[in-house]
Amino acid sequence: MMHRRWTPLLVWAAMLGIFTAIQFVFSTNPYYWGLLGGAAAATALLAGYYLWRPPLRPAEYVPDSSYATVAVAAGAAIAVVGVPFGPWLYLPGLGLLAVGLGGVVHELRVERRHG
Amino acid sequence: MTTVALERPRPAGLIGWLASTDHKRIGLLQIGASIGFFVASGIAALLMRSELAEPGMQVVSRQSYNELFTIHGSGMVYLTVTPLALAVGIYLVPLQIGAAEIAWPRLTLLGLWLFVAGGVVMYLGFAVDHGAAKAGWFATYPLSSAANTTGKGEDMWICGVFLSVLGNTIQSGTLLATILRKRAPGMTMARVSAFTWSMLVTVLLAVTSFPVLLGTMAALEWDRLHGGVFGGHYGPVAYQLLFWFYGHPVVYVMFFPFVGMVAEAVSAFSARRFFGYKGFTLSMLLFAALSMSVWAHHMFATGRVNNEYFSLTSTMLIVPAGLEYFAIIGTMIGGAIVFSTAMLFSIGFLLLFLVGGLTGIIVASPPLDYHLTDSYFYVSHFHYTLFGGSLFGFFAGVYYWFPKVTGALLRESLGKLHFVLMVIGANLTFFPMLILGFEGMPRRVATYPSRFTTLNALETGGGFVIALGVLVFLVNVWWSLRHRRPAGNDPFGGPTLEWWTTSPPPRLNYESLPPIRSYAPLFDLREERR
Repeated sequence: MMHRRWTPLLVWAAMLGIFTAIQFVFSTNPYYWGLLGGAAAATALLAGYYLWRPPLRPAEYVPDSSYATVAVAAGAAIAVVGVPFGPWLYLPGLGLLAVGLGGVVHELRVERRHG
Repeated sequence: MTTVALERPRPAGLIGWLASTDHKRIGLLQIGASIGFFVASGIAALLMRSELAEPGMQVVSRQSYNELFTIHGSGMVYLTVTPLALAVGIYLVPLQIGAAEIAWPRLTLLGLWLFVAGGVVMYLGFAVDHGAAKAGWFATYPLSSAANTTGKGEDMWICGVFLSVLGNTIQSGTLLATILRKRAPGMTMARVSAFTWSMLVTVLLAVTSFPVLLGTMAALEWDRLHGGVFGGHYGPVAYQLLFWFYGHPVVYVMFFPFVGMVAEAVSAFSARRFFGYKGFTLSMLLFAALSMSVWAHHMFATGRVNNEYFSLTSTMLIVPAGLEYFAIIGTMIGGAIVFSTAMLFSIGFLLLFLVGGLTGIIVASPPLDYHLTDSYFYVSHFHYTLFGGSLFGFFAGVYYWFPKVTGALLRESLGKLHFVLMVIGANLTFFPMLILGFEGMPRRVATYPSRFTTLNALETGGGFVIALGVLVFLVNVWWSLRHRRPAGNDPFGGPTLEWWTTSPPPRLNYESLPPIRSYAPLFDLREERR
């Protein structure tokens, strides 16, 4: 059976495109068409990605837990909050983020070995 | 597609739960965190209402009042209703489409913890010098600039919003991929349940509008640290245009999933197939696309936007909204209606959201908006949509799916008490606001002229009735889990796929699937057996 996964995305992009076009009747303010037209274009690109995406693998391994992902979230949060506070906070955050990302890569390698 | 779990023991205990990539655990954790933030934001609202029970300053200082209304609004929008809507989708969508798992489970887990971290950061603002953020839930510029709102609390609010919305955006992406790529054989888009359709349009809205807020928050923080982003004569208008491109669609992100929940509950408790399924799904798509095109109606009074276009599109929203109402009411007509708590909350949703929708038509008209803007009329309008709509829809969903999630039935008597208290509390709190707003009481004030005292006192009483209703709900959940009444797989005769599996569902959701020939495969089976 053929899955046309891109269809809802294309319909959504077309609807946003139509409303972008209607806006031009009323105003050419670049914020209007830039925001709505940008959303339409981004969705159309996503639809294109799904159109060309290779078929799914016959079997997919599902992780049961991922401690590294929690570390990535904690690192990202500390790094973001560190921006207004300074390097004493965002540098440790970036360090934890790097450790977490390393952990995720390790987890993916282990899964690939099992697969 | 086959999906198998890795051969290793499933992590147990609290730590196992916190790092679990099972979509059901992630969904439940997110629902728990959202309810936690709901209670915290609700306490902020009760403090505000206590202050407003009579004119003058009695309970908090003016600065604290500004912090309270900012954190109350932010807590409800960014940390409660949006993540709650996505959390229910994370739990239910894979089950409803017959998938074993959500797409990209690690990213879904990442989204959960980014959202939680964002909420914690926002609330930690109370602990720093100058207190928490005070510029309202949309941080209007230049009020939110470094010169006008000093202290790190506002910066922490910006970081908190950024993190929580980033988490929600990531989760919207994984839900979109799940619906598009993980449907079971036979589950075409024309056979996807009403709730999953509502989640599809929700995540389409989220992935196309939330990234704009992420950029806007980054720009606002840069402006606070270094200046020069929103400083020009058009800067404040540009900030509002960018913010509301997120700020209006998010209202529908907080609405559509709950329409889907009500649609499912009404179908089950009317023992009827959903009426006008195709019209309902198409109207939701149109509704969502229109809601992307109305964002600057929040700015009529600035005089810097095209009022004709945004008024036209805002008024056009009536058409798809009306279609959805007809579909839900049409499902009830001729059905064998059971007035369970879920059904009562669904009917409450329809009636209270109607007040929000009708007042929305009023404020979609620029001349009326000029009179009402920044008044209590608006506070009432969006509370009828978000409280009467989203929260009543959520409670309908909780009473409907609680047995599937836990394997236990909620107590109907406590549920009906909960419903009555919520209806009384909501109308007592939010209806007088319509009158106050029309008579000129501005929003976001800590005191007011004495002629507004009676209606404000009524609202304060209503706020505490709502709190009592929420308490009854929490007691019901606790009592029903402690003294379990087993639910079985399908206690209500549900139409959709999730009622096929055990309650609660196993790790990979299904051991087998029934034939899928429509959006109500379990109704099909029952009809065949007759």
